[in-house]
Amino acid sequence: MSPVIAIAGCPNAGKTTLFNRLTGASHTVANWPGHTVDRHEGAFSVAGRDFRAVDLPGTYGLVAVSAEESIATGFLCRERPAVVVTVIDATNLCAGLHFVAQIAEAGLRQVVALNMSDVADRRRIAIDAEVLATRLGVDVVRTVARRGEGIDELQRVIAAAASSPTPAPLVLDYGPVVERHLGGLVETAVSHPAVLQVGPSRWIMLQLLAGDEQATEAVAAIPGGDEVLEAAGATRHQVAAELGFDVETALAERRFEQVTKLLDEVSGPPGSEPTWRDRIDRVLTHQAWGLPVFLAMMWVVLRVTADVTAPFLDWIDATISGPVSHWAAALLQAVSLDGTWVEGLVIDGVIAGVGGVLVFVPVLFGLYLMLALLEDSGYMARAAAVMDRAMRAVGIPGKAFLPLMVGFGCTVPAIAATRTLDSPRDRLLTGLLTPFMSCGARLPVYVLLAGVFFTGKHSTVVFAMYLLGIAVAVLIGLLLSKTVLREREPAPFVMILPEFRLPSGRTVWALVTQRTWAFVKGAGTVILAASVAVWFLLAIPLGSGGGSFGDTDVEHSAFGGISKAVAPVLAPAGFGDWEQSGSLLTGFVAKEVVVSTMTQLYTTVDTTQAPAGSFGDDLRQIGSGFVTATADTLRALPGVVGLDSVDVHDDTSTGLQSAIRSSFDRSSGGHAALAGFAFLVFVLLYTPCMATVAAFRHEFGTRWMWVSVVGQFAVAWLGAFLVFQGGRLLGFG
Amino acid sequence: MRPRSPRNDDGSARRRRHRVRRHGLGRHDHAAALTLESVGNGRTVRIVRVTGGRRLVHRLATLGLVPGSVVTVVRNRGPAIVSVRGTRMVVGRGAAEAIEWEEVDG
Repeated sequence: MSPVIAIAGCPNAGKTTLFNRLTGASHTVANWPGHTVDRHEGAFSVAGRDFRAVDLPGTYGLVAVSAEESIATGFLCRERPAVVVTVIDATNLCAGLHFVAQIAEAGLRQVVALNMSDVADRRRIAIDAEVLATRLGVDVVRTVARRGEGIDELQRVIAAAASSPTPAPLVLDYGPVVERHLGGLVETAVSHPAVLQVGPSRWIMLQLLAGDEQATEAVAAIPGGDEVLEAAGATRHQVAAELGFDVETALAERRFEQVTKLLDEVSGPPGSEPTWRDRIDRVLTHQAWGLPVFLAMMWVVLRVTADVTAPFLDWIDATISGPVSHWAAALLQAVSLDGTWVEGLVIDGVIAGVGGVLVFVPVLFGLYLMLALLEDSGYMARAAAVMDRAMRAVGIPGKAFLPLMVGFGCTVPAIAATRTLDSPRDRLLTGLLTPFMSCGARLPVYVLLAGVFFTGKHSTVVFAMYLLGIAVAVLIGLLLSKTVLREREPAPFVMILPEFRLPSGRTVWALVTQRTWAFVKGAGTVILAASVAVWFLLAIPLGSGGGSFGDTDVEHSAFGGISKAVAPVLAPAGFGDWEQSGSLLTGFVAKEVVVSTMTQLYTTVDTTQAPAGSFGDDLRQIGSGFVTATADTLRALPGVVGLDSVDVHDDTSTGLQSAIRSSFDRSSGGHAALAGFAFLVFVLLYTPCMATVAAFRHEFGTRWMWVSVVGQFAVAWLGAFLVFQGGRLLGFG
Repeated sequence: MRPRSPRNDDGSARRRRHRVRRHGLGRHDHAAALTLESVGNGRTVRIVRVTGGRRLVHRLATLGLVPGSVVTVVRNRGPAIVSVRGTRMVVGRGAAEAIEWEEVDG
């Protein structure tokens, strides 16, 4: 087993960029067990020796009191990596050195990467790396990770450090009161030798005094650990009483004091800070000026994920349903399976399912690209400051605005975007709210039914749906944050503002491709399985006159049977016809399918497939389609800043319109328009599509996935019921 | 949420040494507190004491917002922006109010 190298440091110190440079292409991304936090792993070798590198999530220190902090501290406690590479931002030395001191106290072998040293040079921040190295007893390497400078030397120093003896832990002076009590505690620890396996006794005791959850857990697990914890707890109260304030604060105060002193030795008089940064920050986080900038940024994100990627989406769709399906059909014909149910399963089940996964690739790619740019440039932190107060009212932090906004384009990338939030609770609550943002796929349903029941008032109805979605999200947000997801203490809004910088192409590219691939792997199977399951439901005949397997009409299929069984549940909301419930059922697959199902169920027109072209034609179609898609994307880019009107095609046949109208008339007892509106409310509020469900499971696990599906169904039913019955009482429609 | 400190619209008033205001909230009663909003942009203040819940105290400690820290105010409104030992931070209203500040002379 090759030695483990942990890459640690504060957020935004350039950890990930350095990690990418260090490990090159040998890089995988997964989740930390039990967390929705990326775990990057890679390998590198120096002079024939192999090393395994793990990128720890960025934290400001080793005392962990929350789930997100515990990942890094837990890893260092349990795995005791061979070497810790602490990445520090040379322009932000104090926070970095504070981190370095804590790793040194833990007695871990440490190499410090003094990153972004070029920016420090430009700003005339002099740093004496040698003094730094001797005073802290660690190796210091200057790096510029963005340009790959200093990486070779860093690798050599890591290799040398890995075979050096374990250093004596750094001892800082915590002042008379703490030191007096600490002595007795360390003796308690020494009398329980098992404690020493967790780390150096003094460090363990300091961590326990500060209230670190990982050290507490580790000590509790060893024999006699309870005694040690009890002693530490008692001392903690005593020290706090003597000092008059919290022990963690007291420890941090002394540590920062000594780090500041070291800083004065290492670095000369501080260089002049550029005042333009202050001015930009004042504008970007200003309560009035910051908002338009923020909204403009969000608009760009929304357009890129929804519109710019659309041509590629269409191309993938056309390729799957055209050439790929033709080829599959031709292959099946070659083995004489054409016209059988196998052909249906392969083409309408499997291939359509694969297409259902692939269409999300461009969308997610666009979203992850925008996220990486916003995060890497330093803007995200400013955006959080602008929106924080408004969003806190609903119980979510300012950053949550981004996923919600993306939700108007597509719910799937919106769920994925919740990853940018800091705490699991914030991620979950935001994830539960995003489906209420009306996504692009729901629009065709609004347009179809508004065309039938509200001619001339199209846009008002559509707009009302969007507003209703936001209102429901606000209500549910308030409800959840006051009940199930109530916090004992809201997350404090204090954070470091990272420097502005040009995003690094390499880092952004690596992050975007890895995250997109992780989604395809994680959510793809669920989408595919759902597609195949729906096909089977449509293929299984029920009762007499149902035809044979794979050759039955919708009404007499298992799907039709389920639709009829579900229909009475929806009757109180005014749409209890099986065609209506059937359309809604297929809406679980994707919302735009509701329209095609309605067309299919209410009209008897045959849909004839386009004749299959030759193999060469197909290849040409794929090739030219890709070129057109690329050109369309480039053409859409300028449109990102502009406000195009929504392009709505209304080519609904009058036959379909009257069929829908009479169906709603029948199901609602003469209140067709009201039932139609209730139907739209239902479409707005229930599960957007199975891809959303898959994305939700990917991010939050199976249990919360069911909570979301069932909860949304209940909300949708209640909403539609209130609209229909309330509207009848008030005499509408 | 408490209302903004009174009469902040008066530009000259803000330029005074500092503005002292009573919290009038239970356990803070003994202290006359200085709020960040009353400190002009570019001025420096020192942290005297930190009070509040576990999460807040922890967050402030990890970021080095501890008693004795000298802080330069970059922007004093809304979520404030401060500079601590060369590190720029956003401090939300709730957090800023949990910190007891004193003006640094010079």
